[in-house]
Amino acid sequence: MKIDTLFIDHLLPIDDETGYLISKIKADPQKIEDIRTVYDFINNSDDPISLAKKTLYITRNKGAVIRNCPGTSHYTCCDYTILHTGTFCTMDCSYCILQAYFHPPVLQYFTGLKSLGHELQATFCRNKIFRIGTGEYTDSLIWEKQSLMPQFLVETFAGQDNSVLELKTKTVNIESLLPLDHNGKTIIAWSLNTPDIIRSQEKGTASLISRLEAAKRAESKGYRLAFHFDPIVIYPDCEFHYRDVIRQIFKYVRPESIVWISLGTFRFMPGLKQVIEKRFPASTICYGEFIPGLDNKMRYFKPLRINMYKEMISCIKAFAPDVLIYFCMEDEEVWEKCLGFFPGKEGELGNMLDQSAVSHCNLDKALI
Amino acid sequence: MFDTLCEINLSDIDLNDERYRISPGIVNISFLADSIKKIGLISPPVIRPVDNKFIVISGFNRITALLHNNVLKTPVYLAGKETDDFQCLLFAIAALSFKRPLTHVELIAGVTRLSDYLEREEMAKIAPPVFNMQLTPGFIEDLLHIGSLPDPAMELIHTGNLSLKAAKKISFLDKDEIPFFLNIFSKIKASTSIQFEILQNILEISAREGIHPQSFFKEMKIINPLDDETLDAVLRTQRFRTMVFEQRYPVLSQTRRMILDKIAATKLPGIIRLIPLENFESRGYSISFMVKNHDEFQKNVRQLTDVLENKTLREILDS
Repeated sequence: MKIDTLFIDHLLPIDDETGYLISKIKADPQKIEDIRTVYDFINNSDDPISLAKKTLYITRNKGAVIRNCPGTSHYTCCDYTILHTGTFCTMDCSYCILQAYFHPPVLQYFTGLKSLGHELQATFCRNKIFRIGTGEYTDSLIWEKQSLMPQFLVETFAGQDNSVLELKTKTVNIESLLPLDHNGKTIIAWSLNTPDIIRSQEKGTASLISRLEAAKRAESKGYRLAFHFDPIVIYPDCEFHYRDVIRQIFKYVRPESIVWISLGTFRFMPGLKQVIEKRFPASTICYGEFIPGLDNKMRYFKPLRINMYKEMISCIKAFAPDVLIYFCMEDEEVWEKCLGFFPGKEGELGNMLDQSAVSHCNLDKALI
Repeated sequence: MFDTLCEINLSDIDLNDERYRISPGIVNISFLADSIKKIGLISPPVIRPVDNKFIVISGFNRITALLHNNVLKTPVYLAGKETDDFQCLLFAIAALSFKRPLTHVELIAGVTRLSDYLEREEMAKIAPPVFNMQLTPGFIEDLLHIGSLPDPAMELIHTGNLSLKAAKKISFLDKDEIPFFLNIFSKIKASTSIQFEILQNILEISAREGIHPQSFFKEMKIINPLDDETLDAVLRTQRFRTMVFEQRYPVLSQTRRMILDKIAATKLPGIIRLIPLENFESRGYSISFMVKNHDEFQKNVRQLTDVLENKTLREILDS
């Protein structure tokens, strides 16, 4: 999506990093003193979310750059670490929680590679395995064509052995990453869905085949891979379609390259429903059998989730018996019924993922 | 402006001109007519000369009651010649709203009439002295939408069969879908939240199944309990609500029914209740019994211990 309006924090020096970004964005930058200018600009629109997707604010991250994933109560979390490099997204997925998460949503890009490097070095010195991702509040690679950051991160992570970088995306923006010496410390991860869902709910994203072709290219350059089926949407014949996506994955990449595959059925804060109904009137994604979960998010009725997960897991296991499969935010019953065990102790799921990261990405085994 | 008291012939009033009428009017005028007979006309109607006739600004019911009493002349307050349409309308609304709180239908009528003269924001500003309440531009917008619904909708709002919340949702539907829902709400009696739940569930089923709400019953192959005239409104509503819910949440409903059947099959002693959590998201079941004294407590615990051997109970709890 093209950026129509570009705001820049007036305190930001136009250095190589920012200058490069501005030159690639191709919009006249407007220096502003207060973020409220951006808020007002967006809020005054009839459709603030759509406008926010075309309005970029370049600034510094004034909060914590590295933070723990907030997770959710009552469901098992994977102890992920977030590298906060920006917010919101230029793509337009109907189900995107970011539409309801930020008030108002602002597409922000946080510059400052130098300070980011310092923060990371402090993490690299710790005696602990870290799985660090930039894809929590934004897509990790939306700015790959305009920004020096993805390359910087891949190269920075290449020089250490306690952390793995996960770049989660629905794009195929990997061109600048392919020639880099990543030293196996970067996982490029794709969110996957069925072609029906991609076509109807994931506006502006790459097609399934394009994502898998990109994964194949990344694999050919030695990158480790991950796949996230999140959100899994339940609709007529969806089991067949998701099984087909799984079959496609293994047509394109080898199981050994996959560090993990996560599964998570569609869940949403109740407030998102109105946003979806307003912005995507043709979408019926919220009209499944949703019930309020223990964390007050709407979730598919549990037997439906379990049935869906079982189908997908058996299919994944048929192609890749050893690949690590985990659930994003599920409870004991789902784990036990679908995978036969429950990583119930504190940090147990995180530990499982750490082990997979260590073995696939050559991290320091002694830190496990 | 409206303070000239005079006496006119009732035959000179054109009751058919209802441009300032806000209230739907009372069906049985006899109480008011009797009151005027015995106590007298407490407050004279307010009228306005138009062409060779008078039209009513406030007091439609009083004039109807006077006619019912075969009265020929009545005292009235006459609007001055300089008074315009807009001022008369403001007076008509304020006369009612400061006598008693406006009903929803009156509020809708008032806002709809005023929208010929004022934008939403302007109307919001003058709302307190005219409507005797605060109105936001957003709420005014909602009322205008609701006001655009066909007349049967106003009747349903008036009788309490249709809440403003449900009416607003209906007002945004395609024109050909509206009568279908108005027909439903004419046959049920439900709280605001249940009305909205029914409406929302039908719309969501229709969207999910790709069917038109009008063909809902036919496409879903269900017998409409609303057509069962042997049921009273409350029972009809209950059945209809359940039926719609079961279509909206088929697997959940089926599971719930199955578990409740199994719980019944455990034949637990009457005082012991096994209750699953509503949506089965948690694994927890609660078991409860009431006791009045220690003996009862002992007896119930013994009965509970006997239940340990119950195979169906084990099946429920371990599934």
